[in-house]
Amino acid sequence: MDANRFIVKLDVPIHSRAELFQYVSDTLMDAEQLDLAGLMAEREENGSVEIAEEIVLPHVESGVLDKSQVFIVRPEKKITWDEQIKQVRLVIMILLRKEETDDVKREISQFTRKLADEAFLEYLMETDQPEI
Amino acid sequence: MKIVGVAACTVGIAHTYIAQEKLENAAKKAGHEIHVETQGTIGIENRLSQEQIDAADAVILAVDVKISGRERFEGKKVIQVPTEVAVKSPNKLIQKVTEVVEAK
Repeated sequence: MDANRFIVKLDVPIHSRAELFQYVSDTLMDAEQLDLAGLMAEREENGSVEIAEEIVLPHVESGVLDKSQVFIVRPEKKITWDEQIKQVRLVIMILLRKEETDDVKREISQFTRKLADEAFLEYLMETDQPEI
Repeated sequence: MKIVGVAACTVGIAHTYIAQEKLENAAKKAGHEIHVETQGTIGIENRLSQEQIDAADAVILAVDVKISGRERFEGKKVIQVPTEVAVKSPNKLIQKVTEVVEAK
């Protein structure tokens, strides 16, 4: 498994969705800066990204991505996501490279299946030493 | 009650698999037998057999996109919802499916 596939950052000093996208693009991604908000917009038009109370799962598949990664970011304080989702404590962002291998897709889908488990979500929201 | 379902979302990497897990857990918790096929970015997994479909009392389609093989469910009681419903309110959905089947 690629050690950089899942990146977890806790108590991040961001205050908005825009700052979250900026933080991931500038600080966490290896590639040059990307317009993540723009990439995400289409998916968000097709349905809410909220998967549980105070948890959002923005995700996108795109040809502009060099590698597939999952960023789990817990802001220092709750942030507002949009008009409907006012309080967010945990952001799980999946960036899927277009034409990714089935092995990597499977690795990520095994992780997303775990997000159906409320105990795992609670763990991600509370732990100080996360292990994915 | 026997339930079969299909989960499929736009990107096919997130809601598809969460919906599958949530539906399976909620149905089992309510005492039902369930099989959920996923049509995600990896392709079709956990493919439903004709026997499973024939035996099902209800079909749940938790889908945001057009799925392949929808014709397999012709003549069955089909309940279609966006994946979001299966992800956020799986227990209510299973309850609703139960009511629909019992009202038949």
